[in-house]
Amino acid sequence: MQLIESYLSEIERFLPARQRADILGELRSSLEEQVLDLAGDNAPGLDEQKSVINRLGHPMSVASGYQAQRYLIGPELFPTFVQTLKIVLVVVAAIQLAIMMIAYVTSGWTTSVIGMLTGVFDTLLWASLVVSIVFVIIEYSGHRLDWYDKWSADSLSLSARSSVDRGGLISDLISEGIFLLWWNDVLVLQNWIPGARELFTVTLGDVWGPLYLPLNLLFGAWFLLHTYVLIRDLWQPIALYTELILGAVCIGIGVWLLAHRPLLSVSGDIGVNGELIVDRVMMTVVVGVVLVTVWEFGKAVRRLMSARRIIG
Amino acid sequence: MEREALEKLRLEMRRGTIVLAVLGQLRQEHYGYSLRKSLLEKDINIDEGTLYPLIRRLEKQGLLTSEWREEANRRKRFYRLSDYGHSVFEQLLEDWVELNDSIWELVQEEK
Repeated sequence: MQLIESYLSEIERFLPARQRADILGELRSSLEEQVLDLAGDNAPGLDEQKSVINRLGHPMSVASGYQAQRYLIGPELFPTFVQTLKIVLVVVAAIQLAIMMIAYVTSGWTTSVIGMLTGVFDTLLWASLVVSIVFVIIEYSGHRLDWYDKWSADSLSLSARSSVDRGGLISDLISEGIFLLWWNDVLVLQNWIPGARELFTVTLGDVWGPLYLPLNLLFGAWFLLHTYVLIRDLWQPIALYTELILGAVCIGIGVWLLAHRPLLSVSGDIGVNGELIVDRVMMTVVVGVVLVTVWEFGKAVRRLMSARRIIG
Repeated sequence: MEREALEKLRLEMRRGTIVLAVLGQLRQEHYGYSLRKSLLEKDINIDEGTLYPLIRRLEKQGLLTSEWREEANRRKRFYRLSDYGHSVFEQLLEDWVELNDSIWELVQEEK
């Protein structure tokens, strides 16, 4: 029964080595008997062999039935894998973006756009590979069972969710991104007062000098936090506490700025009371930012209280 | 589409009963193909790709014993229930009867 033998050798390639001979022996005896059954009193031929083989199906599918572990990452672990992968990719991309911005500010672009994109792609690919390998190891070690066994309702107090306003988060991300680009001179706002540039120039006052790093850290942390919340699609208590801390720092910086004016430095002919008007405009902007932050702070407090009410 | 969904549900329902059917049938000695035929005679159609790996797994779990023997000039692997397999089968059968009664009662109530 040549066709049956060919079929068995195809299956053999995908079988676990230790059981190979045993499984093949059993399959051979079963397939041959089926062929004889089909042929009845006639001599068995190719048609009977084909019929039996077609009923059993693709060699790989037959062999897969004998594999103890069929997944690299099984269905129980898969949702956690996807969630982790998303977070890692966003964090890695954000770090890469931050490094690129710092490199631009300190030494200008040294690589082409294509080269930059390839670099980002490479990093993301490596990150995906590392996360996948870690999860395959977890899957094969059987560790996931411990996670599920150890889970109890008590852990809900650490992961109670609060709904996410996606539109609000996206507008926060855009404003934080624009601020970071402007603060690091990647985005330059020139000629924003039409016709005035020939007469006078306005720059940030000396009071902003010590804030270069703190504001980068504050808005960078906010950007990462809001990206994380947007991906998870939930406000966890830890994220809400972080939002509160960042909000308090921002309000503190705003109040400190208002107490250390002038916020802007003007050179050139700005006219009577011009310097005062420009300072008032900037003061209004800072007060506006502080008020918006106070409003966001209140929202975070309400979210946190509502999450605690749910937990009871 | 409806038929496809029905078939899928049917398959899922039967999947849970396959082990019970196989254990029940292996109270008598069988080799792979004869087991499949005897199940088929009782309208239980389990394709070989599922059945053969399943009996090997059951053997690995200690529910079955097996031995290679020659029959009609062909070497075959014969399976039957182990002592442990017998007690597991009795327990599963009891559960199955209880479940069957509960489902039947539930369906009658709905009527």
